[in-house]
Amino acid sequence: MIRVREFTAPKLGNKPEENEDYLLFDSGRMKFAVADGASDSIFSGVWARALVESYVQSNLSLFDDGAFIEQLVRTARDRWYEEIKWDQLKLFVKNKAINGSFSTFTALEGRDSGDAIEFRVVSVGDSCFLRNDNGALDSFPLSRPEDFNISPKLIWSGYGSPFSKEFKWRKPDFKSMSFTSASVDFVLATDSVSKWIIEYYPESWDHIIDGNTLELFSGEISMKKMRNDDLTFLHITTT
Amino acid sequence: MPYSAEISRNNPGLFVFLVDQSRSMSHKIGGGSKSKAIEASDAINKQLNELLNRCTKSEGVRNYFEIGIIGYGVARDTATSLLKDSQIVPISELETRILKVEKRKQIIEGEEIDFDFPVWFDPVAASDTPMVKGFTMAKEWISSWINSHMNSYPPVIINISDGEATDGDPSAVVNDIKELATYDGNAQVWNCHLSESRVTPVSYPSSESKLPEDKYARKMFEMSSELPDSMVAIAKEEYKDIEQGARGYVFNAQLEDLIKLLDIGTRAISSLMR
Repeated sequence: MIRVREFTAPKLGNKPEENEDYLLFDSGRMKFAVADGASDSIFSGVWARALVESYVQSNLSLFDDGAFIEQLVRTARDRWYEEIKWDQLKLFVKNKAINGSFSTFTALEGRDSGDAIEFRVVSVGDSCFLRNDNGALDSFPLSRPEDFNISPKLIWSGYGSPFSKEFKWRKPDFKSMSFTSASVDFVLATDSVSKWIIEYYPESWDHIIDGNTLELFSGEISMKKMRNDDLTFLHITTT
Repeated sequence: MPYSAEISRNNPGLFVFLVDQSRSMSHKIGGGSKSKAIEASDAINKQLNELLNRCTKSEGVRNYFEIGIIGYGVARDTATSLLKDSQIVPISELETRILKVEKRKQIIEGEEIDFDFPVWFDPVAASDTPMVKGFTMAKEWISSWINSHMNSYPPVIINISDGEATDGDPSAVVNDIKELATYDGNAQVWNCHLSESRVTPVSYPSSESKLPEDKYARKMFEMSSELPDSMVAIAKEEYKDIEQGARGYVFNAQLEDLIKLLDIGTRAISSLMR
């Protein structure tokens, strides 16, 4: 049976509603996703949520290689576009919102294949899938602390109003991987948590499994071991 | 490490713009079609919009910065705040101090889109050049601001002028400003020197030997701060031959250079926004 531990918190000093990360999972259907809305753009939290919900709450499947990304972006754009009250935006919000929103996206999906489970991961940007494999850490798509920078790959929502909901979508630069595993000890995390896990593994993995996560992360941030950022992860195991 | 303080609503950054409003600003920039006064006001209005854009979130404008704008030369021996009834204001307050909104167009994906461009002040070219008065006003504002913002990124003062001060030598007051410091470093003074001559522009020189023959260039160069490493790195994207020790000074600036000067500063500092 799949067991999931979830954590999400805004930057220290920010309000919960200012958190631009989003996570969602459906353990029954073995669908898990996180996204990190880019703080440079506007309505990024709305876009991150639209991406994650469009995947987890629909029949879209990571195993549908050819069509997944385009279907995801088109479905999410509809949600994003409909959620924003374009005609009620203030001057500066309106001027910025036309450029659209940006977000990373990383999702994990599993399906039974007899004795083991077949997994697939799709990722855009620096939110990572991390796997504790008998004392060794696998991380995807980034594997070294120095791989994290201020310009990750992002999924774009397309332009906002006055452009219409119909749009010419731009294919994001996504990566995917598949593997089969009988055991499950995985983490999906946005960039700051991912980087911290990679940099301080194996202690970081032990810490993340249990304990007071907010207290732990606050301490790591104050010691400059972790960037003060929106922090989000899903820890997925089997019982 | 200096010039690395996180910019947040608790610890905002400060930009103070000084703009020359003397009579000679009515002359055209060398090689340009508009007056120096129009180019200067347009550049600052654009940069205020850019700063506001960076600070705008879904719920509105967050106060990552505070802003002051000083004009000098609107009348003889006079320097004034160009923001009505106030000196330094949190950036969100600029929303309530818009002078007018111009309808402008931008091309996106081949489509012409109308947008509203806020303007906070109009170009003025009126009297003499009381630059000392302008910097003295800036010093008073910044001294007071620093006392309550010691954890903030140091203030950045950007002066746009076409030449010689008519009320004395501004060096002393500019040096006083450069001595003002937060825990993160000393205040930065940058100068954008607008010229009518067609001399080849000079951007971010590191020594006097790179300056053109101009009677005011040396003074403006001396008054300009050395750029922090983070800004040199961003300036290098536009100006490949920029060296360590480069100063925040551009000579014979066209509008494009002026915008770049402002943009380099705001980009470097905005990257520290949290």
